[in-house]
Amino acid sequence: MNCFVLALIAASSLCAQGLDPAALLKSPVGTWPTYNGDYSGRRYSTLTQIDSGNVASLGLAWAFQTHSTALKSTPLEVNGVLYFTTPDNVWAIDARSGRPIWRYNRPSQGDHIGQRGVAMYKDRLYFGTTDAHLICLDARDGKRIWDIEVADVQFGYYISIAPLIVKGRVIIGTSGDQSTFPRSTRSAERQRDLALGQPSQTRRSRV
Amino acid sequence: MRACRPVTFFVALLIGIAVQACSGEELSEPAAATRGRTQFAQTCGFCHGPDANGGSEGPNLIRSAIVRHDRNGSLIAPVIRDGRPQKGMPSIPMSDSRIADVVAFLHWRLEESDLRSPANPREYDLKTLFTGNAAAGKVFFYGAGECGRCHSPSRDLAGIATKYAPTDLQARFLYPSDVPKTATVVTRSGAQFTGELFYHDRFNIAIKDSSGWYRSWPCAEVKFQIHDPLAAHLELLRKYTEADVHNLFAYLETFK
Repeated sequence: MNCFVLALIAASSLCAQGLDPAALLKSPVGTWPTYNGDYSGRRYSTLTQIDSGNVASLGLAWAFQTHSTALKSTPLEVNGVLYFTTPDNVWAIDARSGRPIWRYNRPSQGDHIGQRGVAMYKDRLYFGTTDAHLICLDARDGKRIWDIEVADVQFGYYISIAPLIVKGRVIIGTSGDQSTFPRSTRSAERQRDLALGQPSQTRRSRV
Repeated sequence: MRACRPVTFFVALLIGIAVQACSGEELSEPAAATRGRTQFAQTCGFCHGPDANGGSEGPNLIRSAIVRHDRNGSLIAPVIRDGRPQKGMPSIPMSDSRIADVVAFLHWRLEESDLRSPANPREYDLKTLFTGNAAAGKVFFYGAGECGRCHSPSRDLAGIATKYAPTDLQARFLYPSDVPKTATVVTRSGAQFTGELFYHDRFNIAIKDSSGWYRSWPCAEVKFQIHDPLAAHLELLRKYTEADVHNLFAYLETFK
């Protein structure tokens, strides 16, 4: 897996209602700010309102139809808003009512097998696409801030995983088995770099 | 609710046209309207004409603001019972059921008349728009219409008649729609939030605050006040007479 690191150089703008980066270091309580909830990867909430005694009484509060391909992402929950994805799409919806707040849609080529979710940092969201681009969105309105190519979709690369924020950096990997694609000199060199353990690509980008 | 009325009207109009197109027949007159037609001809037609199009003494009721704004006799019935002495109309003694028939007849006449209006607004004859009196429109603008409370011909309305085509200009002052409502929400802890109203129903209220963030609350847990900058426009829809609309439009058309 190729691994790219994006340095978050400039502090983002005011984020009174965005995600406080300090929340990423704590066990999730009343929020789910990363794909795994927290860095432990336990995917466990310490909230106690729902337990083995009352789980059977839960009922449907609302349903949201994406009219899209299979929904495979883990929603983030930050300040009462859910952020989740399908290939080509990101939604922000009200966790209480299920009403949509915004939708970002970017039809792309590449493998649409699944999309696992977004990462959030302050007032920004990070989203991997089926043509192996990484997109930065404004969490307030879903407007695109930047779009960079992480890998070449012509060699079968795509992004299905959720990015991870660590110490002010976005970490993203690609999926795609190159063995079924014709190998060019360029891709061979890239493989070699990975085998040597060298950082094949380090991109710095303004966030 | 009131804002939906024109939409409802046009949908009804389209359905009406579709029904006519499919069946190739005129819409059938409801029985109450048929009874009302006879009653109207006997007691009202002498002044208003047998089809309510206006007569020697009485005005055209198809274009009457009272008839247009009536809901199941809410406005028409009191006029029939009490008359309009200041305008020379006597009270007409009539039973409730006969009044209901007359009301049904007048609403039927509106429906019939509207169906004959041009289906395509582009085919609307502009000459029928330009029949107002600009001087009277100016009096309405600063007087009964209270337009001057928010608007000024030298500021926000300067050049508006050049900016918009006549039909667009009329649509915009009758049914403006591009100014969002705002809301101020006070939480139980006393925190206050103001912003553009994003959503509101009986259960939840949501705004976009001044920094662009979405915030929502259950209505039962907060106090809130919604401000609609267009409320005065909607209120005017209940007050306008046909002459007011044409005169005001004629005045706005002078803002070149």
